[in-house]
Amino acid sequence: MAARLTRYGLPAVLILVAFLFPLVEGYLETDLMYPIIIITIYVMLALGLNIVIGFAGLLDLGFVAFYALGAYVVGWFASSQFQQVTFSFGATTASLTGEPIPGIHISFWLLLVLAGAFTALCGVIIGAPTLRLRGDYLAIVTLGFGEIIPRFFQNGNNLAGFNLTNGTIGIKAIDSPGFPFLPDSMSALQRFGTLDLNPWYYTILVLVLITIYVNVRLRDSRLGRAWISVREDETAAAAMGINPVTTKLWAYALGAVFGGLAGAFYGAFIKNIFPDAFSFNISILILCMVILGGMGSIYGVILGAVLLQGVNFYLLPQMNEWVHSIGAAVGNQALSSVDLPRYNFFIFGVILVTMMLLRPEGIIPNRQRAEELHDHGPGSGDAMEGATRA
Amino acid sequence: MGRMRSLGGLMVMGIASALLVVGCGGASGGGGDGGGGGEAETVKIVSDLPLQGSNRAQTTTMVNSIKMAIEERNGKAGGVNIDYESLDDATAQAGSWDAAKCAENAQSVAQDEEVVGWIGPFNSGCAATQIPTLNEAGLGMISPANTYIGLTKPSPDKTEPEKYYPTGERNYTRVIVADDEQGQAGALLMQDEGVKSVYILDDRETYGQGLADQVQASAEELGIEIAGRQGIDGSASNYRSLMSRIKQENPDAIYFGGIIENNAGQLVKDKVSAGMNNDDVLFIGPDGIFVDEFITQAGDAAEGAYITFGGLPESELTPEGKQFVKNYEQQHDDVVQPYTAYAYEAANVMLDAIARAAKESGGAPDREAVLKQILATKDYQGVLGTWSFDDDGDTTLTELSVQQIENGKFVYQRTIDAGDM
Amino acid sequence: MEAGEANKTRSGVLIDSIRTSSWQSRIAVVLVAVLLVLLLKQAAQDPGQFLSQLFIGLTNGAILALVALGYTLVYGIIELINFAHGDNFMIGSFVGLTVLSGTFAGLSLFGAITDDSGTFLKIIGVIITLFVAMSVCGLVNVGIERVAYKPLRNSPRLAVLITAIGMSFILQNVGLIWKGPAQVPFPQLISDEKVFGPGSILFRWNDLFVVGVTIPLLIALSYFIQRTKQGKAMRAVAQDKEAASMMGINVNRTISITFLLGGILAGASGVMYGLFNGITVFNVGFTQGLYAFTAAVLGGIGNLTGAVVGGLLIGIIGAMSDQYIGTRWTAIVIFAVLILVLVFRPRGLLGDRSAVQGGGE
Repeated sequence: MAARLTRYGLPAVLILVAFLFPLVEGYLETDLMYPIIIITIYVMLALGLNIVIGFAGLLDLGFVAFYALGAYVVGWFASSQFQQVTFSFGATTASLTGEPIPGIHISFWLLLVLAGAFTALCGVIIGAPTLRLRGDYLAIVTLGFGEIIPRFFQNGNNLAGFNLTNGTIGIKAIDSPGFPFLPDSMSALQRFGTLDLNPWYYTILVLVLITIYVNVRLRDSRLGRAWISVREDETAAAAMGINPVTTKLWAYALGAVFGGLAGAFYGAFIKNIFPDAFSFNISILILCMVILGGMGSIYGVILGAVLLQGVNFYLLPQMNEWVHSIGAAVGNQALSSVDLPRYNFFIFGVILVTMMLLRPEGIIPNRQRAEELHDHGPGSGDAMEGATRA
Repeated sequence: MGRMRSLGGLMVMGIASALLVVGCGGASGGGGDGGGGGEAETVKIVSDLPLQGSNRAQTTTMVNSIKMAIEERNGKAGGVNIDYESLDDATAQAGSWDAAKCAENAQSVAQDEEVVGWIGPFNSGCAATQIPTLNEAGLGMISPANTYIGLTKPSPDKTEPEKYYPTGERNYTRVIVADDEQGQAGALLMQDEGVKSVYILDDRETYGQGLADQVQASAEELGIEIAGRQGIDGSASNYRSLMSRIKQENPDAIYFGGIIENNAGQLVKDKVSAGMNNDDVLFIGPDGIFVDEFITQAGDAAEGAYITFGGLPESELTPEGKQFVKNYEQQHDDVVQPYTAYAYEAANVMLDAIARAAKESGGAPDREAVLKQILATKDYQGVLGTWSFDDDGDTTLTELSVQQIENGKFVYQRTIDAGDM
Repeated sequence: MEAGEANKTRSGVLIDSIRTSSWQSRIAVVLVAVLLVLLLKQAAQDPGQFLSQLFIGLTNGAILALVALGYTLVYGIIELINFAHGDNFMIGSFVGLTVLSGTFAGLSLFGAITDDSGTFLKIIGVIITLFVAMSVCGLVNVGIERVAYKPLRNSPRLAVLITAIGMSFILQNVGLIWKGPAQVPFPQLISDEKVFGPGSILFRWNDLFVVGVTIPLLIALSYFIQRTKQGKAMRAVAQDKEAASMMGINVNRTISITFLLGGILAGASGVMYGLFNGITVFNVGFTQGLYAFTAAVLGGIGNLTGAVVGGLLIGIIGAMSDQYIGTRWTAIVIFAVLILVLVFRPRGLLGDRSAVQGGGE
C-alpha cells in the first residue's frame, strides 16, 4: 500500500501543485514565474539528455546542438526570416497593414511536431558516425558537433549568398504561440503575450509532463532494457540478439526530440534566437544536472535541473541582497557592501564540488545503477562506471 | 486507466484555473490604470547596461550620471517620485553583455507595471533582443549608446526596423548618432587620409557587423577599393595568420567594426607586429573601442590608430556639457568617459518626459503617456546641444568626431559632419 | 614467410594492402590526398606566404601542444577529462604577469620588469617567471587532485567529471577577481623583430622563444617517463592500478606526481602564451583548453606523441584555414577535422595506448 502511494500518490500531488502554482503565484506576486519557466525548460533538456546518458550510457557533450536546432526550426518557420516567401498557416501574427506579412508563419503547435521530427533526424545523423567509437571519443565527437552547429548558425548569414540564419544577430521577433481560432473573449489565449506568463507556464508544464511520461515508459520498455544491456556490455548484448546500432540510434534520436522541443519552446518564449545563446556552457550545465541528480533516475534528474538552475536564476541573484541585509543587521560594513555577483562562478563551482563529494552517485541515484556499482565493490578497479565505456 | 482519468481531470482543472487567472489578471490590470490617486506617487525607471566586462569603467560612470540627473531634481519629476534601478545585462561567464540576460531583463521589467521608462541598453545586439518585448509592453526606451542602423531605420535587411516593433508603434529612441552616419564618417576619414584600399574586419556582432556594412557601402561610394572583408573570432588567441593574409592584399587601411571585448587590443598588436605599422596602414575603429582599456591593452601598437565616435568628446561639448563634466568630476572620484554625457542626456530626456506626462495626467503617468512625451521631445537643449527626435526616434544631431591615439591618449582630431555627405 | 611472397614486387604489396583495406581508410586516403594537392597548389603559387603561415601555425600549435600534454597525462593515468586544466593554464599566465609586475597583494617586492628593462634583466625575469608559474601551477594541480578527485576515486567516473567542471569554474572566478574581466596586457619582453628568413617569411624572436622552451620541456618530459623510476611507476599505474600497488608502487603518490607534471606544463605554457601573444584574459583557459583538449583527442588521448602532433596539427590547420578559407570558418574546420579523423581512425591519429606506456599502437 505504501509503495503504491509513493508510486502514484507522490506524482499526483506534485502535478497538482504544479498546476495550481500560478494561482498561488498570482496571489503572492512573488515574481517567480519567469525563473520557473526557464527552470522548467531545463528540466526538459535534462530529461532528454538523461535518455542518452542515463539510459543508454552514451556520454554526450554537445547536447546543446539539439536545443539550438529546435529553436531555429521555430525561428525559420515562425518569423519573417525568409522574406522571399509569404506563407501563413494558423499563425498568431496578423499584419498591421492588412497585407500578407512576408516570411513563413506556421502555427507553433505544428512547429513543435516539426522541431521534434527534425531534431530526431539530426540526432540520427550526428549519432551515426559515432557508432564505431567507444568511451570518451564518442563524447568528443558530440562535443565537436555541439561546437560546429552554433558556429555554423553564426556564419549562416551568407551561404553562397543565401541568408539562412541571419548570422550572429540571429532571428528576431518570433511569433508567439496561441490559438487564433478562439473567440475574442479569450484574447489571452489567442496569442500568448509577454505580460501574462500563465499560458506559457501551462504549455511548458504540459510538455514536461509528456517528457516525464515518455521517460517512464521508455525506462520500463523493451528498448529501455536493451539500452541497459548495451550500456553494460555491448558484445554480450549483441550476442543476445540486440542490435547495438539501432539501439544507440534510438537513444540519440529520442534524446534529441526532447532537446528540440525544449529549444522550440525557448525560441518562442524568448522571441529572439542567436548562436551565442547555445554555447558549450549549456551542454555542460545540462550534463551537470543529469549527473548531479543521479543518472538514469527520473526524479533525480528533475531535482538536479531544478536545483542547479534554481541556484543560477534564483539563489545567486538573491544571495547578494540577503548578504547585504545580514551585513546591515549585524552592522558589518564589509558584508553589507560585498559585490557577490562577482563570485557567482566560485559559489557555483563550490556547490558542484561539495554536492558531488557528498553524494557521488547523484542525489537520488538510480536503484539499478547503484546496485551494479556496489556489486563490483569499491576498489575493484572497475569503479569507472559503464556510462562512458559502453 | 483510473490514473489516466484522474490525470485528465487534473488537466481540465488546471486549464480552468489558468483561464480564471488570466481573466483576473486582465481585470485587475485595467483597474490599476484608472485608480492612481494616492499621496506619495512613485514611478520607476530602469537602466540596462553591461556592468561587468571591459566596459565596466564606462558603464559605472553612466549609472552614476543617471543617478546624478535624478538627484539634481531631488528625486522628483513633475511632482512624482522617481525610483531608479540599475540592471546588469552582462554575465560573469561571458565577460560582456549576454543576450539571454538582456531578454530576461526585458521580460521581467515588462511584467513590472511600476516601470515607465527604460534607459539603455548599451549594445545594439542587446537592443535588438529587448525592443520587441518592451514594444509589446509599451515601454519607452532611450538608448545612450546603440548605433546599429537597423534598429530605427531601413537597413540592407528589408524587414528592419519594422520587425522590432510588433505593435507597429515606435517605443525606441536614441540620443547618439546612428551608424549610417558613423560609417560615412569612417569612409570620409579614409578619403581625407588618401586611402585607396581598405580591408574591413568585424567582430560578427549586431553592432560590429552592421557598422562594417555601412563603412563598406560608404567606402565603395567614395571610390575606395575594398581589399577584403572578414569576421573575426573574439576569443582567438591571436590574429597573426589573419594579419599575414591581409598583408598580402597590401591595403592602405584596416577598419575594425567591433567592440573592445572582442579582442580589439590583440588585433591591433598583431597588425603592427605583422609589419603593418599604423602610419603606413591606418587602423580605424569605431566608438566600440573608444575606451582607455584599448590603449592599455594594445600598448605601443595603439599609437596612431584612429577612432570615430558618434558624438563629440567632452572637450567639444556645449558649455552645458562642460559644466556637466565639471560637476560630475567634483562629485565622483572617477573621470567622465565618452558615453557618460549621453547617459546623462538620456536620463534628463526621460525625466522631462515623465514630468510633462505627469502634468498632463495629473498624477503618476502610465507607460503610454511617458512614451508619447519621449517621442515628442523637440528642440531639446541639453549637454549635447540643441536637438530633437526625428520620426524614427533618432537624434537630429549629425556631428561625429575623430580621435587619434597620441602618446597613449585619445586626442580629438576633427569633427566630421556626416550630414554633408 | 614463403619464398613466393618474398619475390613479390613492391607494387604487388601495395596492391595487396589496398585490396585488404577497409572502405573507410580508402576514403580517408583519398580525402587527405585531395587536400594535400590543393594545399600544395596554393603553396606553389606563393611559397613565402605558405611558409610564413606554416611557422605561425607551428608556434601557435606548440603552445597548444604543451597544454594538450597536460590533458593527456592525466587522462592516461586516471581516465579523467580534467576540465580544470585549461583554467590552470590561465592561472599560469596570471602568475607570470604578477611576477613580472613585481607586486603581489599590494606588496612591491621588486621593480617591475617591463619593455624598457635591460636584456640581462629580461632573460633572468623570464626564467624566474617560468619557474614560479610552473611551481605554482604544479602545486595547484596537486591540490585540486587531493581535494576534488582523490575522494571520488572509487565513485562513478562521471562524478569526477563534475567536480572537475566545478574546479574549473572556481579557478575561472579566481582569475576574474584577480585580474578583472578585461583582457590584460603582458609586457613585451621578447622582441617581435625578425630572426632570419628571406623576403616575406616571418620568423620572430617570439617564435624562437616558444620553440626554445617547448623542445627542452618535451625532451625532459619524455626522459622522465621513459628513464626514471618514477616514470616507470607512472606507466605501471596507468596499465593496472591494482597490480602496480601489489608491486609496491605507491599509487596515490604516483597520481599526485602526474598531476604535478601536468600543472608544470600548464604553468610553462601559460607564461609562454602571455609573452607570445602579449594579452591574456580570465577565460582564456576555457577557449584554449577546448582546442588543446581537441588536440589531445586528435592525436589519440593518453598518447604523449599524439598530443604534440595533435597540437601542431591544429595550429597549422588554423593558420591554413585563415589563409585559404577565411577566418570565420576556422573553428568549424578544426572541429570538422576532429570528427573526420575520429570517424576514420576511432582511436585518434596515433592510437590511444596510454601515453605513459610509450605511445603508439
